Amino acid sequence: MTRVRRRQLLIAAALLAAAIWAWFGSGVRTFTRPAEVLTFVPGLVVLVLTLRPSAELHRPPKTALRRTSALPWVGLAGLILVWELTELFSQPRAGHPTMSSISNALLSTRVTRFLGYLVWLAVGWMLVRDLGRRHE
Amino acid sequence: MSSYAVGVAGYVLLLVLLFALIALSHRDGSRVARGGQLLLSIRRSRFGRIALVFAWWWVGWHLFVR
Repeated sequence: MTRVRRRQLLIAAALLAAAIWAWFGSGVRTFTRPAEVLTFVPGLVVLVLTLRPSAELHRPPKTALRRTSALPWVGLAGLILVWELTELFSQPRAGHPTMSSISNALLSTRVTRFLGYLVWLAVGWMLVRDLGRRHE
Repeated sequence: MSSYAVGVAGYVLLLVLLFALIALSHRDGSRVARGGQLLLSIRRSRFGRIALVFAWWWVGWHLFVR
């Protein structure tokens, strides 16, 4: 078996494992031990991979990042925080949606919950996939 | 307009602002950092990488456990 073929099979196996995990993770009821375990384990794996001594980011910056260039993002994050807190502490609660209540509504079906879980796992993989690898 | 509709409209507006900022950051010569550059900058430090992991973990916990 060639190296490329072996890598392709590994990727396919990882994707299948992630899909199966996401299916079970999205199918259990909230506030239960299975839900805790199925969400805790991927988090622990990502954390361990991040804490490895070799887990450095070897990517040279294309251009230097000025601190002022991040200010618009900080401003937007501040606006989101203010709006979220305003809604959270407004009464009646049912008349003021929060990001949490909106996401609950979006993730209320098995399919959307599965897709959401898959996206969450994909983001976790993206946090560690380039650690320790040297880029040219 | 009900208070619920106002709440949702607020989030929609914030989403529009987010997309506008992304578009602005991708223009030639833009002085606004791209989201990817920002994340890369955070991930350069060990503390930043760990903080992002916990933030991601918390989101998953909040969405799928609690």
